[in-house]
Amino acid sequence: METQDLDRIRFVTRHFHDLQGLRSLVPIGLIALTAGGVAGAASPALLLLAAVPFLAAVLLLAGAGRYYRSAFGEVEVPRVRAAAEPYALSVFNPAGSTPWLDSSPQAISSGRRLPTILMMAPAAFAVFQLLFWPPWIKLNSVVIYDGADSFVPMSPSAFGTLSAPLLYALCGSLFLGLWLLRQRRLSQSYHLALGALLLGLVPLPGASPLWVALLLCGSALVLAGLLDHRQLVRALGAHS
Amino acid sequence: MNATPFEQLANLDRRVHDPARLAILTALSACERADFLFLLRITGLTKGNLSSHLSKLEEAGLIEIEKRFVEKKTQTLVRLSDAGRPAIETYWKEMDKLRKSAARWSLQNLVAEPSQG
Repeated sequence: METQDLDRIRFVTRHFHDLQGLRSLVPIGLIALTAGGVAGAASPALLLLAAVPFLAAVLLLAGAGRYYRSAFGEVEVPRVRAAAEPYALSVFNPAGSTPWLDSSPQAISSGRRLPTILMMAPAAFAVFQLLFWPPWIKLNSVVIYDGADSFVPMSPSAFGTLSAPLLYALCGSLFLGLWLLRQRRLSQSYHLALGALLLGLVPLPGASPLWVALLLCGSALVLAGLLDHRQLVRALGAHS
Repeated sequence: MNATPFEQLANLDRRVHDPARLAILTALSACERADFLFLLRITGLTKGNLSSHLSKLEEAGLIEIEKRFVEKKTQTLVRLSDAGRPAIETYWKEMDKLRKSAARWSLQNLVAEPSQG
């Protein structure tokens, strides 16, 4: 039993639920792909094609949990791990003697909660806006400065143009948050890469339309979910 | 009085020091509780081996085993006991001390050897 083996055991146990990509990231990504397909479809045939990822997402949401339970078992993770880092100072600590782990348990708990809050708050706000479209926000109430000492109502297309960078920012923040939650490990760097890629699209002039953003973010979510799933299968299925 | 690395090695908790049991306890220290199937997968042990090690750890009072029925099947849930968590904590502290004293010991011997030759 080598230190790396213990490190793997500890990491996979702690992040067992996060790594179940088919249960969370992949269905969300497929739904985003569906939304992008519907928004950008030019013909009814393409609209029908866009229903395929939606059906796949529904199937995954219904069955992935059962699959993971029957294939890999169950793990209960405590909400607050007050004394879960008993050997953080040891160089034999499987997780390594990192500054992140060397802090107090209270700091660890708060430190892990912060990225979650940071990524959940804007996500919840965006979902609320998109789904419920509150009455106090109307397209003709959103104005832009036209540079000639006057304000003009923002057109729906202009509003759509603003939605794409927002989506890139949300999705990029989600990936960065996941990378931070997983202790910035090298094996999790695909989350960092995807996050940086999507955040890099935010300030680009002439931002892409919303449906392209949905397709890109959806693809990134599906890719990250599949990589998470592969990691879990390799860690837990290698001995079978 | 400073114990030699060999004495420290001999004093390590044998219940924890076994590689299979260390793997089980490491997994359990990272969660609230885990079921038998997960421990089987994560450690790579056979069912018989895992059962045997779990029995030994339960006898030693380091873990608690709970059985329940889920969808007409028995599910075995395992968690670290109140004594188990400090036991693995102490083990890692002892390992840390051992590493340091082994480093000191080898340094002293490496310095001593050339002068003898």
